Amino acid sequence: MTLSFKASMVGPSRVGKTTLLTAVLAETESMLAGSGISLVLDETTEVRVRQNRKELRRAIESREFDAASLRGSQGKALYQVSLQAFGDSRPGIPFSILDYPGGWLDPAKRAQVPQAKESWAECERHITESLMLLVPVDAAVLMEAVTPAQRRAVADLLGLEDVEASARKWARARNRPEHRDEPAVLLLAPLKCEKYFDDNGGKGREAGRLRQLVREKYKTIVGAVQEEAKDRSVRVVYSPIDTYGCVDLMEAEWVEVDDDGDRTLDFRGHYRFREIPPEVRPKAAATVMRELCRCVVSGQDAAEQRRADAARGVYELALGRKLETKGFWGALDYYLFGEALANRSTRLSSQQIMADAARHQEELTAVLKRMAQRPADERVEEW
Amino acid sequence: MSDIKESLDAVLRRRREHLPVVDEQMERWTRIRQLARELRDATRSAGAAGPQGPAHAALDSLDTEAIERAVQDCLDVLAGVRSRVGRNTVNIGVSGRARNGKSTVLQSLSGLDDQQIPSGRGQPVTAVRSRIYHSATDRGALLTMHTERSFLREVIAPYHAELGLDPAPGDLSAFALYDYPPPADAAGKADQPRLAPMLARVREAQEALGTYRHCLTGEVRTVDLSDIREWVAYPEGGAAPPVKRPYLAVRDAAITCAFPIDEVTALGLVDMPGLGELVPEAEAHHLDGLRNDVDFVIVVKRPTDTNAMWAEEDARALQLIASVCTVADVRDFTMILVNTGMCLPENIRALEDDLTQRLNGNEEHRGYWVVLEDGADRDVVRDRVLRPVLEHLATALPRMDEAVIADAIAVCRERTDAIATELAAWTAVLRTLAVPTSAEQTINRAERLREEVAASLQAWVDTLKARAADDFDDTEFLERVAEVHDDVRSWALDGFGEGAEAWRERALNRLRVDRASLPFASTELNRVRVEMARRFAAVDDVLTQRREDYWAGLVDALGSKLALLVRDASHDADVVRPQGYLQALARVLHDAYDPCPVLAGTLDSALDVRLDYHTRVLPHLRRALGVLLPEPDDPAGADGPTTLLAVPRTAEGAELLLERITQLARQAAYDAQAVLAREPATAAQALFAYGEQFEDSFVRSEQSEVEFRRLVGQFQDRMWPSDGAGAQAVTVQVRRVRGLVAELRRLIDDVDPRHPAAEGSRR
Repeated sequence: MTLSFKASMVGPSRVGKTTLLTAVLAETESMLAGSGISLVLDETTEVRVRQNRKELRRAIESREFDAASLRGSQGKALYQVSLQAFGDSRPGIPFSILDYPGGWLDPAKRAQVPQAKESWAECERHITESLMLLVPVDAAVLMEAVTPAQRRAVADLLGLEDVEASARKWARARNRPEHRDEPAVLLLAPLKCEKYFDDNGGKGREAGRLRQLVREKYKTIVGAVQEEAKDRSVRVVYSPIDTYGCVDLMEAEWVEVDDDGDRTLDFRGHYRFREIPPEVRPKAAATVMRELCRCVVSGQDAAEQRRADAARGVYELALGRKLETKGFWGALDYYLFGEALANRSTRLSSQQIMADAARHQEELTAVLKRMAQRPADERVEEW
Repeated sequence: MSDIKESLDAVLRRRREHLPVVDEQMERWTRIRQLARELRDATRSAGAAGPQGPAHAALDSLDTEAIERAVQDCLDVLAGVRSRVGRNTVNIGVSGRARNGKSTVLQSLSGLDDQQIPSGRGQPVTAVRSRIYHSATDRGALLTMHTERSFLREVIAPYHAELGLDPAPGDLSAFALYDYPPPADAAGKADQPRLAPMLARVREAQEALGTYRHCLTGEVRTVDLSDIREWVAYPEGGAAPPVKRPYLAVRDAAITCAFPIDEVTALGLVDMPGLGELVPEAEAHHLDGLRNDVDFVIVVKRPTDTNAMWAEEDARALQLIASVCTVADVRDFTMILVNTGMCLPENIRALEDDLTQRLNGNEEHRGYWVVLEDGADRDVVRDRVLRPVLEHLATALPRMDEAVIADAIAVCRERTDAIATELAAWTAVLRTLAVPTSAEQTINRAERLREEVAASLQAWVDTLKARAADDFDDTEFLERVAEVHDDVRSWALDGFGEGAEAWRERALNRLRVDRASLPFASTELNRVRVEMARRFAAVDDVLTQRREDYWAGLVDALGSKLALLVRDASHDADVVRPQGYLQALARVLHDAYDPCPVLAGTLDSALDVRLDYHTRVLPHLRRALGVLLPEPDDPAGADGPTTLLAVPRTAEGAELLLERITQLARQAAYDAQAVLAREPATAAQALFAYGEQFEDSFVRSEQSEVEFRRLVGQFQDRMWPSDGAGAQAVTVQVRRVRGLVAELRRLIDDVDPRHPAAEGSRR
């Protein structure tokens, strides 16, 4: 059985995790064009993506866009995908992305939902084993908070405390010796950024302020990750994404709500279409896919290296056994009782594995090279 | 007539426009007069203080009364202008010697009769100067009564002066007991014909005191016109003693009634007691009336057997009119009405000839305006006297007003120059006076003052810092922004103020006319954008308030000692406001004998704080409103907005268009309020920065220490007023004189851009 690589999202509810995944998985062909690889969705994943797209289309056909009409995930969902390099007849490299209701991140809320209590341990395991941790950020919450009261509500609305706890666990796991040769990517992805950029049909010129606010608000989280992963490096990628590309934030409401006795502010965005008919045109979402693929390819490369190393060990052991001075009786036993044959077979199969792994690694290196040659979106930065 | 009415109304409107400027100038000159008086007192005090020395000689040489006189000239001339432009009516004075039919003419003009304006024969009958105003609706009289004091001063004292009697009695009891000589005692004196009737009059007043004494209350009483006669006219002969003389208690009478000319509304008639009446100081009253109360004078002259020539008294009356009418052509101001009623033709002709030859010198078009009509014929008086006069005034008044204002300006300028020259000379004299003081004390005081100011400025800057902190909630500002945003949003949701239904209907009509939706949509977006920018300007009041608060905080922080430097101007309405206070303080520091330019410049910078909507907010707001531009800057690059505005030319299309424009407006309004919501923090940070900068410059600049010493050295008398006694008295007094001279120079040099000169030249 081939082990599946993993990726996870960590973000509060209503931030747009499911929509982001849909945007990422629905357009894989165009996103990966020229990279030499393709993605194959398993049947359940394909149905799920199709259903999400249908909901998105429905939302777009109404007169005023209501992001809240898109149902978020109601329970744990694994999006199973395999990555296939062109010309490679072998089965693709499987990986899975975890989606779950954002509310589950909060231990207090989790305790109130039986399904969450049941599934959270598994979710957490998935998170800690992930090569990539995707942190979606509601850009509007960050950018539209202008009064002190609104700014005070931002941390809770973005679930920063819960995100930090999960990120810390993830980084700690990535730092374990067995995972140190695997990639580790923390991707900070502000979503619904249409209003703040002018490179996708919008008029915004606030990219700088968004970057600064994300840096400011997620500084602790990035710091925690680096602190936990002190024995290895973690790539931190900043990728502001236009989830829809055809809407503009029209108004935002900051509504006072009672959160278990705490008076706090909740954020509700109201969007309008920029054009008629609206055309969904995500921007920078391909970055998520590219980073995911790079992680998987690098992970696979590491796995191949481990396989080759293991095979080399076996081969060298067998060769050593063959070459050692055995004495007369020893040599007689070695040849007569079939050990020589088995040793040869072991050496041959080990050599085969090493050659396979080397070839595979060469192919993966070529894929990575091709991916690296494709220009990244101008919005994306590595921190 | 309606043209005349419009013209005269326009004249009155223009006059009222001058009023605020004239009031401002009068206030300024009143302040200058007060300072001039203080200067006089200060000079005298300095002269009396301490042992005699060079300072006393120098101070004695200053002629403060010359300045007071010049200031009073300006105030007098401005009072004349004020009286002219402050009136709500065009006033025509009716003058003339007694028994010439003046009251008859007034009756004809006003429509009143013998009951209200007695016009008897033989004896003069008008006892009180009255004004009569036209009103289509009101009818009645307002009588302003004398007080005991004003009665004695204005009625009785002039008789005493004319008759050469002892000073007038000080109270009514003394008047009642005063032993007046019998009229026969005037016999033998050179002017017996004039004095004897006067003596008779004052005795009558004394005898009748009991009949009007209770009326000397100073009150204003309303009297019905049917009862007015006894209040304004001498009693008819033959009345049984004691004769009632309530008219003696009346200081002024204002009668309101409907004139027989309907079309004119703002018209007043002033009955002017004429020459030859047996009332002392009649001429002085006459002059005052001419100067301030009337726009035109009708001089009534009745050619009787004994009065058919243009007599010396008549000529003198015209000269009087000419003397007060120095800035306008007296011919614009006067008409001679030859009252022909019941007169013999030969007498009329004789007077006419006399006027033509002796008064006008046969110059038909350049002479006085002479009209020959029967003053008792109301139709004739209305059509041939009043109407021509009003027609004349419609064109002449603007010219006369301009002349009066120009004269006032010239007088004020001339006096201003004279005062400025005088003050400059004084300044030079005062500079030469050495006023020694203890240097050590000055240094100590300056150091202590600087420390106190530094401490309180630091505390003030700390409050600014607290307000600039990220978590400072400027609730008031944010609530105001939310209020304005709600208002704009509601306006947008209500079909941009005209109701959704009406908007859709209008839109549909235009879509059909244009056969396109984009032209209408573009027009609407432009309209909405402009209106929204205008509506959001409503937050300016809070921004202005922030700046006021900043100045108020600074004023407090500067402390009480520095406040004493502007104490003299503290009654000034401007100085009561923090901004005015800081300006005044800056001026004091600039204008000091040894100026403190750094401290003054720092105050000037603090006054230059700009937080207003147009300077700070609008540039950002314009960007927020950019979503309402009908086309992007590069139409070829983005067609989004255009696709939103292209709708079918149907009712549904109109509804869609309203919905989309409303959405754009909501977004613009939301973005605009977000811009505004950031403003408190930005403004607070700006004010904090200004505050820190002020504190640094005022307390820690290189020159600060030196200028604090200089400041204390010059103004110790004001900041430590208890120093005014003892050995330092002369020094203190000289400093006080210097301060007053500097303040006066500042006021004199302070050329107001709204000076009447500018106003006058514009109109």
